[in-house]
Formats: sequence, structure tokens, C-alpha cells
Amino acid sequence: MNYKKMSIIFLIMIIPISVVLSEYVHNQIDTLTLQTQYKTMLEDSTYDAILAYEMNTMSATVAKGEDNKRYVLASVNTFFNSLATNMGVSGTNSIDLRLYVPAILFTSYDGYYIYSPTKMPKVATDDIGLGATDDNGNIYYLREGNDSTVVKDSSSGTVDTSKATTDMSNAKISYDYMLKPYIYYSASYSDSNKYNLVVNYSLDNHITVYGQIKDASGKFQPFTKSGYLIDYNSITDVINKLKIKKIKRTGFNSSGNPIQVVSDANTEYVEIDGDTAYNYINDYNYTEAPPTANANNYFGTRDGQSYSFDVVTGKRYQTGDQIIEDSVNQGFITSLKYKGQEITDSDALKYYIKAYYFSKWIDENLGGIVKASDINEEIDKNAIVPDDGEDNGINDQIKLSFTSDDKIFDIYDNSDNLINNPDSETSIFTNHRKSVIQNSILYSLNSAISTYSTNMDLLTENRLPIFSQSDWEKILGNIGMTVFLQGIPCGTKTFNDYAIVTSANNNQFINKNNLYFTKSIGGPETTSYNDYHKIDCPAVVTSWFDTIETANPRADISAQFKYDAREVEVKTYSDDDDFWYKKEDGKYYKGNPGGLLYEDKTAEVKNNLYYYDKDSTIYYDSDWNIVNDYTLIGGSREAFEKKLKEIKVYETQEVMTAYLYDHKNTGCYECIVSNNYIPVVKFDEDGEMRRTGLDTDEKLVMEIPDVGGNKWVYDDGTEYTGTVSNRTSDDELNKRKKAWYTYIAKYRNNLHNANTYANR
Amino acid sequence: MEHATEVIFFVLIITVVVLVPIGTIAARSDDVAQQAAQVAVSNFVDTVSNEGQITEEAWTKFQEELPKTHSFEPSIVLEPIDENIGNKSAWTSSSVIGENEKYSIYTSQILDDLEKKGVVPCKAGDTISVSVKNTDTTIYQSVINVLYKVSGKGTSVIGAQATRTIKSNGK
Repeated sequence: MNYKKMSIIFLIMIIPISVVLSEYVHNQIDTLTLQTQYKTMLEDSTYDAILAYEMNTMSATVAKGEDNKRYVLASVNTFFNSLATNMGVSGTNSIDLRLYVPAILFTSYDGYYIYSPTKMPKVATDDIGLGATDDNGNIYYLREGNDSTVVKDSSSGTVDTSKATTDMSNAKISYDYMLKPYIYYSASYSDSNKYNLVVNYSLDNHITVYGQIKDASGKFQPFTKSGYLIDYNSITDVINKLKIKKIKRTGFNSSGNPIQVVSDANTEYVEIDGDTAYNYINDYNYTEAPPTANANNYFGTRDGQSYSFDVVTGKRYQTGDQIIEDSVNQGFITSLKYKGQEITDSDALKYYIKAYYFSKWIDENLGGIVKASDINEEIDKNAIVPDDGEDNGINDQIKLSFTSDDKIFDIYDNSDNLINNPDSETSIFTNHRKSVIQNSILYSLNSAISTYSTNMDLLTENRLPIFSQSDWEKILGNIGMTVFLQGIPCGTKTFNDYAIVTSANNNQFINKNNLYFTKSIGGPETTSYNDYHKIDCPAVVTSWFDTIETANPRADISAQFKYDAREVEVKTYSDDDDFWYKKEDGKYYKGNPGGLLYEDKTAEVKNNLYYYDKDSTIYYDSDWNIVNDYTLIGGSREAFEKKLKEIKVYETQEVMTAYLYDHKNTGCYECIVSNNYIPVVKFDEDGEMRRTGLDTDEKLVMEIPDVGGNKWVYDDGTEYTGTVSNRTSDDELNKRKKAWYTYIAKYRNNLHNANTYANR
Repeated sequence: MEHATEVIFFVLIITVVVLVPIGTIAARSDDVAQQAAQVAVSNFVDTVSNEGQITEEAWTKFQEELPKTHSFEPSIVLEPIDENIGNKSAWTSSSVIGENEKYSIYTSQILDDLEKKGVVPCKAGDTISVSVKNTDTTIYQSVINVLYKVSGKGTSVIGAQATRTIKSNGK
């Protein structure tokens, strides 16, 4: 055979093989493309749902006390509408999409909702559409096998009992999507010899504890406590400054009961020492003197007067929180020290003092007795989902956390050493808190998806996916939504995936990633205009924080930024000075580097900044209005012109994007817009702010305490022993710490007071 | 016979040496055009979502960003919230995004309004969906059809789609 024939045979063999392989590869590519598209649609729709939630909850028309459930349901509807539009099946067909969504998880501050199909008995109706009931008010349900819902004649009242029954166990069952009741992140613990309690956790250190604890006499005493758990010994200089209101007895009425008045709030307070304050704040029944049966005596006497007790009702006049708030509001406590930083803001003071007494009570009363393994067997220990197959995976961590003998609330040991810092990411308390939340969510989701898979008559079996560590960090880090989308035919495969989107703008939860600082509020037209910055941005001017007492520096959580931060007239930067961009002619003008030219104003002069076009003698004010006639206040026109530096018009400059937020301050380009900056401080795993520096290769290192001193480490924990440059100074570090401790406390105190409706 | 063998040989050579590389390059070109179209569509819906309105400027910019290698047919669907439907009560918020029904406004109506008024305002909570499809037959499609008609792959289309909820009220 010649080469041609061999080539032909070769090609005839190869071409079909390559065509088939190419087709196969193309199908795989199409499948991957489709999967990517569906994933994008899923994430976009989930993002829209969270956006709707943010817009609804932060709207000015929100009524106080309104049910959060309504907003969550609206978010779920928004998700389905958006997904249907994305897939091109909007309208009535969007209802079919629910078949591919086994569950939607909405995590809130102290609990979560799940939207999934639920078993519901079908209610029967009468012929005018009202639910059918018997004479005792029992609801009639349709019997199995009966499709007609009308079973009762409204005029005669007769019910066809062959079609309906009041016994729910014989009722026809349907699976309808609904938002299930709110589930708190809670766990119950018990030790029959010592206590029996329930703890409600949250996304941060706030806990609510209620139950019974055995006292010294062996009796179980009920209690309910709520507050933020902190390392309370870090607070100093406050213990002996609390005061309580003095109640005078002015005499006795005709029935022999004492008449009492609350004294003038400004004068009639008495200081209580640390131990007494602790008792007053933590024990609602506390009295300094034992009560007697004689009605002429009264509780809590001192100098013949009654303190804090209403002798007529026998109840405390002030609660623990009221004593604290009163003491701060009246100016009895003006400062305290937290981790060596002086705190003077009133809201922050209230937060720290409340947290101090709450944490101390928890540590002293529950710290030594509540073990992780005491977690209630029925509810929690059996609720672990099947093994994820990973060694030391999430499920193993949860199991370990529930079976260890670690004391969850033991903050300080007997020698007052900090052994369990609630702010630390690696502490016993934090790990256990996260395990409780993870376990609860996994149990509920597994139940929801299994129910869905078993009862929705699907071709494929649906299961709960395994969340990665980064997924859990998202879920536990903020309010958010997790949506599962399973079973959609997708090329050669079936699409099974989930999306987790968290809310960066909400008024329910604050973490270190959504607090921004500026000197004062105001837009470019004000003279004290400043950008918003993150606390670790090098552009923060720490001298702002010298005046925290007078509230000049301002910190806002991201919820107070308008969610549609929009691009504004861009301000460009050059090596030497700032330029202003005039949209009308598209040119860049250089302002006077000295800023103010004039402090006094005439009728024509609106503002204090002037610009002029170098090719003419036209003068503009900062609104770009031509100023033709102006009067100099002192001096001469020549002097004025001498003050003006020549302004050059630049045709091209590098354009920067600035985002204008609700308070008219723009966001710092480096730390907010581009996130491209070298932080001057960082938070370690214990939540402490540490100084940073640069190694010889200009990589970031952080200083942490070590035995015998401090050491420098990289992000991964590796130690660096070389020369460190660009170290953050002590002054810088302390000022940022002070600002951080103040504003985090301030916002936590205010958010907690503001979000008083159910299901925060 | 010899002549027939040579003809078959040359046909096969041309197929392998010419058409297959052209097809491969055309396929990659279509992929690039697909990505560019997706970016243009995503940018446009992001702009409309942030500004709360569809402006002529944004529409023109969107059309300029679409790849010039193909002709595209864009389609816009705006779903405004119908204010007349939804839960209302005296003590709760008057409108909650996600509860109301939405109606649809389509491409021709939107483009008409854009031409007459220069801007189509939207409200927070409305939904905008934009999709594009190419109307021409790409080189890749032509090559594929030549190579294997039996697979029906001539339906290859460059398309992109994005949907967003409007975040603010337009002016």
C-alpha cells in the first residue's frame, strides 16, 4: 500500500473517533457551563432575597415591634421571583421551582427559620369556603382518598362524615411549603444534683440563661439572666461607684402601712460598695437587712430609711439594669478602664458595667458546675447528622464539644487566671456555642430535607450537603440565607448545589467587619469633610479619638450606610495635591492647597473654596457658579489674587471612584472601595487588637504576647525573628483600641435596646 | 480508482488541516464573545440596580460593550411592584418588598419610553432582567454543521442573561 492509502485509512479511523470524543467533550463543557449558570442564578437570587430583607428592615417606615417573620417570608418570595425570572419561567410557572428547593435556611441573630415542605392535614370547608367545624369547635379534616374539600352544608349545618373527620390521625396529608416556627440557638443542660437550665446563644457573646440552681440550703431556686459574656476582670475603676435611689418613709397611713416617696433623683442617692452592688444587681430579692413580719418595718433599711424596696408592694424599686443606667445617666460613673483603655462614652459604660456583673454572676454560679457533657441527651446528643467522613471534621468537633467535661462558663480559675475568654475564637465557650448552633441547624436541615426527599415523590434522592469550614464561618458570622437547589436536569448531570449569602448591612448584629469611622458627618461642601475608614486603615487620623468624650469622631455600622452607595463626582489624586472634577466640561481643576481662601462671605459668595480657569479670570465657587461680583472683607483684590495660586487645567487624570454614603461622607478608596491597603492593626484569634509591622520583604507581621515578652508572627502563625519596620506606635495602637472598645460597646448596647421585638 | 483515492485523500486532508483548526478557533472565539456578552449584561443590570433607573447613557454603553464580532438581540424585562396588591394595615409597614405581585414591561415598551423621555425610572424592589442572544450564524456553527449535521449542533448560541433587584428609587 502506498502512503496515500495508509493515510486515508488512518484518517478514516481517526476522524470518527475524534468527532465522537469532541462531541463528548463538548457535552461536558456544555454541562459545566450550564452548572455555572445555574450556580450564578442561585447566588444572584439569594443575594436579591437578602437585599430585599435589608431594604425592608432598614426602611424608615418599619414599625417598632413588627414581626421579623413577615420580612423573612417576603425575602423567600423575592428569592423565588428572582430565580424564576433568571430562568425565564416567571409568572405561574415559578411555583414549579419550589419542587427543586428542598429547604431555605434563614439565620438570624439568636435563632433561625427554615422554609420547607411540611406535613399538613387538609382542612375541610363548607360550601361558602369557611373551615368546617363541629358544634364543639373541632376542625374537620378531609379523609384519605377524598379530593373534594366541601363537606358541610352551611345552611343546614350537616357534615358528610364519610368525607371528613375530626381525627387528625385519619386525615389526608399534603406537603405544603411553609415557614416553620422560629428555632432559637438553644440547648438544655442538667445535673440532677446541681442545676437544670436552658441557654439561648446568639451569633456573638450575648446569652440568655434560665432555669433552676440548687442553693446552699439544697433548694432549687429559679433564675433568669441575660447579658453579654466578657472577661470581666479586664474592667477596673468602676466597682465602688454605683448608687441606688433612696426611698423615704414619710409616715403611716390609716391602715398602718408606711407612706413612702421616692426622693429627689438628684440628691437622694447612696453609694453602694462592690459586693453590695453585685447583690443588688444580680438578685432581685436582695435586701441588706432581713425582712420581718412586722408591717411597720421595711426591707433594706439603713439610717432608718428604706433603700430600693417598695415596702407597700414588697418589690424592688430598681432592677439591676436600672441601677446601672441611673448611675451612668446621673453622672456618678463617668469612666472606667477596659483592658487599660479609658472608656467614657455613656452607652459604652452601661454595656461594660452590665456585662461585668452578668459575667461575674455566670462565672461564680455556673462556671464550676455546667459541663459540656451535661447537655440534654434527648434533644442534643442524638441530633448529630451522619459522619461526614472527615477526621476532625465539623461533625467530629460537635461530638467532641458535647461529650467533653469542659466547663463552658468557667471564665477564671480559682487563682483568677483567665482560662476561657468568651471573646476568643478558640475558647471553650465559643467552640461550644458554635457547636450548639451548628448541631441545631444540621438537625433541622437534615430533618427538612429528608422529609422533602421521602414525601415529594421525586426521581432523585436528596440529602443535606456537607458544609465546609468556610461555609460555617459565613453562616455563623452574620445574618444570612442559605438556599439549596437540587434535582434540576443539567446536561449530563443533575444540578445539586447551595448558596450562602450573608447580610453586610443590617441593624441587628455588629461584628468587626462592619464598623467604620470618620471625624464628622458631612459632605464635600463642609470644611471638616472626611472619609469613612475601617479601624485598621492607615489613613485614620488617630487624633480624632482624642475627643471621643465630646462625640466628634463618629462611628457608623454598615447598616447606616445607604445600601445603594453610588458613584459621585470623582475626586482624583495626584502626587502633589487634590483635584476637583467638573462634570460639565470634563476637566480637572486644582484647588488651593491651603484650603480656605476666605472665611467671610458676601452675598454672592456661597462657600469658601474658589477655583478659576487659567485661561480667563472667571472665578467659581465650589458649586461651580460663576462669581462675578464679590466684595473682599478686608484687603484688596490684588491681595486676593496673590493668595490664589495659579490653577492649571489638566485634561487627563487617573479617575478614582468614590462611593457616597447616606451621611454624605465618601468611603476611603483604599480600605472600603478597593480593599487594597496595609492594616496598621490586626485582631488576633482572641479578639485582641495587635500592632503590625513589615518584615524585610515587606510582608505583614503582627506582634503577639509570648513568654518573656512579645514576638512577631505571620498570618499563618509562623514566627518571624528578623527586623521589623513600619511598626505601629504605642500611641496609635492605644488610640485605636480605645475607639474600638468604645464604639463596639456603644453599638452593642444600643442594638440590644433597639431590637426589642421577638426574633431579633 | 487511483484518482478516486486521491480525491478522497485530499478531501480528508482539507477537512483535518483546514476545517478542524478553524472550527476550534471559532469555538474559542465564541466562548470569548460569550464571556464579553455576560460581562456587558451584568454591568448593565448592576448599573440600573444601583441607579434605580434605565438611562439612555447606560443603554448606549451596554450596546457598545457587547462584542462587535456578532450581532445581538437584547431583551429587557422590567417587573415593577404592583402597589395595589399586598398586605396593608394601619400599624405595620405599608409595603414590604417581596409581598406584592409584579407585572411585566417588555423590551419594545421600555425602548419606546427611553426614546421619548430619555429615562425609565424604577422603584426599589422592582426586578430587571436582561438577556442577549446572537442573531447571526457563527463560524463555529457553520463549521460544525459541515462536519456533522447529524448531531444537530447548529443550535449553538451566544447568550447571556442577568437579573437584579433594584436597590433604590430612580429620580
